[in-house]
Formats: sequence, structure tokens, C-alpha cells
Amino acid sequence: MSVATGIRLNAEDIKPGIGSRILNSKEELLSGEIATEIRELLEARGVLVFPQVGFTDDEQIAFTKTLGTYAPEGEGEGVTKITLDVKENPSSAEYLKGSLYWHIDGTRNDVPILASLLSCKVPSPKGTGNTGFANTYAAYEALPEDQKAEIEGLRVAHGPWASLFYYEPEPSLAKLKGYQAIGEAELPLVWKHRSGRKSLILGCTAQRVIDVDALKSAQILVGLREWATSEPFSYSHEWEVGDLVIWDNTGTMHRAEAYDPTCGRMMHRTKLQGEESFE
Amino acid sequence: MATAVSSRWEVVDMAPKIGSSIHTDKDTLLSGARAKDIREIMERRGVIVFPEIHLTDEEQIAFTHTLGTFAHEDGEGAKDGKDAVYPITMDESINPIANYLKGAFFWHIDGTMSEKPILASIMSARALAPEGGETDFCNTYAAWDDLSDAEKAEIEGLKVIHAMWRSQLYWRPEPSHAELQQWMARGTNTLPLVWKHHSDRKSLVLGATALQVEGLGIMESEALLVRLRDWATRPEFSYRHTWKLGDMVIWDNTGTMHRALPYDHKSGRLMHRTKLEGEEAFV
Repeated sequence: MSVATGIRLNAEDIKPGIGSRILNSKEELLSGEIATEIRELLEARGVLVFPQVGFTDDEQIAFTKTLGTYAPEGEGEGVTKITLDVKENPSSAEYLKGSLYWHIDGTRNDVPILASLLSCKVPSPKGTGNTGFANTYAAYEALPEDQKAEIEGLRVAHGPWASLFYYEPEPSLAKLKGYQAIGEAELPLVWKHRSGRKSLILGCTAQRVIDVDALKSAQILVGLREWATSEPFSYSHEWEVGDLVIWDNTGTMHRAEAYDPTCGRMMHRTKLQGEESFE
Repeated sequence: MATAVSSRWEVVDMAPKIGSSIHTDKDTLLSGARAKDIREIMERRGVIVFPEIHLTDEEQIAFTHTLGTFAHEDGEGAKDGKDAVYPITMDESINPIANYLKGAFFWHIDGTMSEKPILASIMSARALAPEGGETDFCNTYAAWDDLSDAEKAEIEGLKVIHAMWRSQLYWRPEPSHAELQQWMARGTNTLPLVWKHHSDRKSLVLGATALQVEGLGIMESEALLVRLRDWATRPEFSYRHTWKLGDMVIWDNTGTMHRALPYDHKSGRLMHRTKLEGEEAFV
């Protein structure tokens, strides 16, 4: 396909351990001709930044569809507004508070989403509201062999009620029960992907390592989070209007960095349907 | 007392089940003549406020001595072993370990990591925050007393593992491994959920250090701890103290939980605290 028009992927690394910038034009991206290369690069690099590409909502949806199966959120097709502003997003502003901590999306589902695409419509003031990414493939691969052996086979209970304590350590009983009722899912700590690569499954939804005492469990989860989010494997994206960022949700963790909820920061999100279950 | 004839002594209840304010003068407090009354009121009412009494540090130390055994703790007080007040502030130039105080913004009992927690804290307001910085108290004796018999039967006999590291996660949910290790080095302590005091009264032992109820799954354990905290901190068991300069407050650490409300850490808010040695172990 790309032979016909000669469109080639134009990309550069952001850091050795994570992230690439893609410099192709909007038209080249929307043509779909380099979709396969983009998918490969996404898996290899965790996060792809399309600086100031300036997609409209329709273009973002169209681009999403070139990469895989568009995963609708809510009713019909559209983008999802990501903001902490209660006026814009009355129901989910609360839930998004958990997004300030490192996490993987979809830990409640057997098949988590493959990727999210986020467009910046209104950035927060500089120095606030960056999005952080951590490469959980690279972090796993760089672990010493004895530590890999130690954590192989461990299983972790994940649930939204665990992340509730991150931002509201003294919830009411009603709230706690509401979150607990959503349930828990037991996931492997090390995800063996079909590709043969392995990644770590961590984040604020991780409540405990199964069959390990509370102290040891906290040590394992805290130690691995610190490792996976350390400098060599992580990237903090400072947003400009029009930036699009896509990240491989199956091989990264992400978080929003703090910002003033009333500053008007607005992101539009689309998602790609998952293609692989956690195990 | 003969000497107390002319001295002022007026006790006013602040809420039905917690808190009294005592309007008196420095000399009466420092004489020790009312020490037994104060101890009795403290145990019964949980918290006593001495509005704008303006004790100096030396006077606060002397007053503390009238009530029991002055408590020295590791890292607190004067280096030379003399009695001293302890500065409670978020200003790291005054208190280099101010970070540790961040756990104080959540409901807690002091000393859950020791066998015998302090009996009481005495705190004087030396500088205020323009906004916030109130101290909340709740009466864990009254909260126990008012539980239904069925609930009492359900929780009596349960034991709870307390850990300082759990309370630190409240304000720092994503610590480094080194920080976590440092907190964990403080160990864990298994305490009864219901404390049977020498007096035969019972109180609830709860708060931010509560890690897990023994014998319960973690979800059930959290739900029980949150349910009891919700209960114990209900308005009828609670008193919020809005500080005025010179206020002194004493609370029974064995029959209350307390927490500070948020304030600007650069506000200069400064409290001077003394403590009374514990007289009974958690049992």
C-alpha cells in the first residue's frame, strides 16, 4: 500500500526506554497507509506523540479506526471529554481523581483496551497537568533475573476500591461499599503477551498480592511501581494545544499530574478495543 | 478548697456527649487544687478546653505535672532531658520531621504502636492559621456505649493489626520503596478493637493506623473499620475546636480520636504540646 504513494513513517525516539514522536502530516496519518508501522511502533515504544497534529473529533475517530477496532464509550460514536471540571463532566469527575495515580485502564475486564488516544483541546498551565507514562515492558525486561524469578507466578487482586483510598483515605461506608460492589479481579503480576514479551501489571487498582502477607505485598507492589516509573522507563508529556498522544495500555501505566480542577483543562479521548486478555 | 474561694471555676458542656470548657484562671490551674476534677472531667467528657488561658511554656509544663506523669518521648522535648513543650507545626525550619505530622490530618489515636499509649495531650495555640487548622475530636467511649447490643456482640473480642505505615499511605499513597521500608521499621501492633479500661468502661480503638481486623478478609475488614469510624465520628460524638490564640485543650487519648483539619502549611500555625504518660495498656 505504502508503495503506491510512498508515504513513510517519520518517527524519532523521545527517550531510549520509552516514547516516540511521529512527525507525519495529518493527511498521511488519516490515509491509513502507515497504520501497521504505527501499531508496531506503539508496541515497541509504549507511547507515541503526534505534536500539534490538530485533529478534529471526527478526524480523531477516523484515525483511531485506521489502527484497530474503535471502542465506543457510552452511547454511539464520539470522543469522551476528560476533565476534572464538574460542570462539564458531572458524573465522572469524581472517578477521574484516581487518574492522578499510576494505573492501567480496564483492570476489571478480561480484555483491557489496547490503547487510548488523547487530544489536547485546552492545556492546563505549564508545569501542571502533564501526563506521565511508564513502560511496563521495558521495566520488566530490565529486572534482574533473580527478581524476575521471584515475582513470576504471583497474582494480584485489583479493584477500584483500592484506588479510592489513594485520593480519599477516609471514605464514608456508603462510598466504600459502592466501590467494593464493583468487584475485584485477580490478575497475574507478570503478563505474558502473545508476542512472547512480558510486562508488569501494577497501578493503584492493585490491592494486594494474593497469598502474601500485607507487609510483603505492599513491599512488592511499591517496589515494582517505583522501579517501573523510574526515570529510564518513564516519560512525562507536557501538552500543547492540538497534541495527540496514543499509548499502549497493555504495556504502560499512565497518570495525570496534578492541576487546578477549575483551570479548564480539556482532553478528548478515543480508545482501541483490546485484542488480548490478561492471561 | 479554702484557697479556691475567690478563684473562678465554671464548667460548661459543649456537646451532649463530648467536650467541656472550663473557665478559670492560671493560679487555680497551677495550684493543682483542681487536678482531680480535671482528670475526672477529662475521662468523662473526652476533651476539655481552657479558652484563652494563655499559659507560658513553663506554666504549661507545670500544669501538666499537676495531672500525672509528664511524658518524654524519643525525639521530643529538650535534648538535655529537661521537660519541654513540643512544637506542632508544618514549618520544617521549626520541626524538621514535619512530614510525619501529615498523618495527623486523619482520625487517629496517638501511640497505637506502643503497648501503653499516652494518657492525654495538652496543646496550646501559639500562632493560628488564618483559615482551617481546627482540631476535631470524637468520643470513642460514647461511641461504644451507644452501639446496639448486637453490634457490641459482633465486634467484642476482635483484634486489629495496627501499622504506622498504613497511616502514612493516607497522605502519601505512592511512596518510594525506601520510604515504605522506613515506615515499616516501626513495626506492627495487634490491639483489641474494644478496649476494656481499668474503670470497666469500654472504648473503640480505631484510626488511621488500623491495617486489618484479624480473621476477616480485607474487604470485610475495611468495611468494618470504615463503618465504625463513620459511627464514632458522627456529630453526636464529635466536637470541632476552632482555635483562638492562647487556648489550651487537653484530651483523653485513651477515649477519643482526633485529627487536624487542613490549613496552609506556610501559615505559621504553631501549637505547643505536652503529654501525660499512659497509665494503662491496651487490653
